[in-house]
Amino acid sequence: MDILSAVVNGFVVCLQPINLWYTFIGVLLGTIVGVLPGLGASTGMALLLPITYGMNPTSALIMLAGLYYGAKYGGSTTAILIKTPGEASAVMTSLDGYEMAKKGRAGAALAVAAIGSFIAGTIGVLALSLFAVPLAAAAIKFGPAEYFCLMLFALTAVSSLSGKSPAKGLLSTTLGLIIATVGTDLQTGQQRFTLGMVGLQDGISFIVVVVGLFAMAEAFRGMEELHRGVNAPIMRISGKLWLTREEWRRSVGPIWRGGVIGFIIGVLPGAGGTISAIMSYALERRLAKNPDQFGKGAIEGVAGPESANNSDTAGAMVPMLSLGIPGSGGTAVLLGAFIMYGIQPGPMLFSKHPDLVWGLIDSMYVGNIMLLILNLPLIGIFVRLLYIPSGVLYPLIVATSAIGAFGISGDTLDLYLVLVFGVIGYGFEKLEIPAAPLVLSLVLGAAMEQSFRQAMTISGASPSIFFNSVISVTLLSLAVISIAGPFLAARWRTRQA
Amino acid sequence: MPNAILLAGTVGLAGAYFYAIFFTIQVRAFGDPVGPRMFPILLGCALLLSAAMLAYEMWTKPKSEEGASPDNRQSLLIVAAVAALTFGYFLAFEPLGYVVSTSAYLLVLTSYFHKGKHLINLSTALVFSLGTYLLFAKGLQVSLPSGVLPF
Repeated sequence: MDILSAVVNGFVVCLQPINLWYTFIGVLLGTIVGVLPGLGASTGMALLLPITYGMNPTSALIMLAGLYYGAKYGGSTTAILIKTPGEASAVMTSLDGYEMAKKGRAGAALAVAAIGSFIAGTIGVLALSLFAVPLAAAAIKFGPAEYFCLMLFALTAVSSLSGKSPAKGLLSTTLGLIIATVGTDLQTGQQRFTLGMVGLQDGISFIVVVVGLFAMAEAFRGMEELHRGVNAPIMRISGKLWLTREEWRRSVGPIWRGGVIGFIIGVLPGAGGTISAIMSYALERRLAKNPDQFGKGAIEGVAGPESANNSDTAGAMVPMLSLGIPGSGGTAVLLGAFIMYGIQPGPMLFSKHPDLVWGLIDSMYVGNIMLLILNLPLIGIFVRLLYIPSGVLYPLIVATSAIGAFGISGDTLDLYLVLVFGVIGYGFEKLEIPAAPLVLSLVLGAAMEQSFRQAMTISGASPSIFFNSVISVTLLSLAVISIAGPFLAARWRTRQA
Repeated sequence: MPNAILLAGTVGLAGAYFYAIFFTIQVRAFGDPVGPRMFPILLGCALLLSAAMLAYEMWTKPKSEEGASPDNRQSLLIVAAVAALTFGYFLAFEPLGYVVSTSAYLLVLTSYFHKGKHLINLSTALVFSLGTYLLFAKGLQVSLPSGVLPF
């Protein structure tokens, strides 16, 4: 099937009334989650995932994906109005967006964020449509050794790029892989690390880890901040929700550049929306005629980063759909959802489930249009969410987590595990250990071990199989560079100084 | 100080992990040539590598960059108390049922974190618990315990 036919068939799927409805629910929930400070796409998806368990996989994935990219739109609202990014990737938006709000241009800031997100998001989905299939075709040539090396590179890249400390990133990644080994070894039937508990024989559920690490940990963090009395004043929306001709002229370039940068960086495992936004901000500052305006309400400082973090979501979908390698925490949760429904993302996805994958991709075009409508004329409604007392919101998140955890299998062990991972997630935040690598490695752990053991079986237990192909050697070299690179760079900087 | 604790914890975890690998995972004569221990052994090595990298980062980072974090003992105590309360909530989840345990849990927490708004707190606790129970247990057929309630 050529790409054009596939895209058309995808629209037939996503424009079905039931899927339109789920696209709307997904983007609406995403906007709400994005507006509420601190929650983020990963937390929202973690809470929604257990509820989708019995749904049609296509509809469920459309809704989850809608929440994922919808949160990027909503995250800019709090970044602009209370200088608190609702989503981590909106951190750069808060620098100039809040300053624009203080000058009475909150409406213009919100408008450029929404419009930039729409244009760049559409650019990203177009690029996804074009690049995903060729990448999947190339990946069909991968054997177990190549796949193992690819996953190793993805995880080492995530370790290095997430957070300030590559060591902590590697620790988080390793912990995720360790959690993935808990349970029954499928090849030998051997119990591993089950502590004699029957409930652990099937391993630790991905949903339990994600709900605990994101949702419950966030609730703990929020309640701690409440206790400390950390509150920022909420700016009122002032001025029209539109741009002047001059603001339009200054925004067009950053929006297009942000769209391209975001997509490219999104494809890289572990880079994420935050890095896209930072790179876009740095580029626009370098190109601006008046760089000293940045940080004081420059509209380019909102247009560029907001566009980048939206097209980044489409970029992150490329390796997830084509290779089965998630590019971010959000796509890791999405990959977990695929596996939960018994669908394996990767090169064969496009040939085995064309309706699902193209329906999902095309739903992103539709979702972007819905988000533009939700975030421009209806933004006033979403801003009211900021007035929900946090003292009520965070306990509700814990209760919702309990529903999700218990609903998996009706076993109270899952509740206690959610609590354990909630405490771990809170500890991670205090120790500045990134949580996303743990989730990524948890999702990839079983497949990674399987590829490793298959490769070793083929080679008769000889590790030379990992050095036999150009692809494997290249990926292994990149993995080593990912780990060693930051240290060597730091040493070089120290010597220069 | 936190990084030192993290380093010690990582080394300790690696030790415990290797112990668990060699004393709890049996290797049989049949099966794939790698067996169920090999991958965990590699992960144990990765843990030790993380510890080495952590130690290096601590050694090369100037003391001024260590970060003077304020004493948040009271905040940590609050979080510990919330975690303990949540543990109690989960203990009561099946015996008392979702509605009763969740209502009580929400009421206690909102009474502390949303002080003075008793009517709102009580309404939120009851409406949320009953509403989600009806939606999930009865509407979406998600398993939630009824406990002491007859429905």
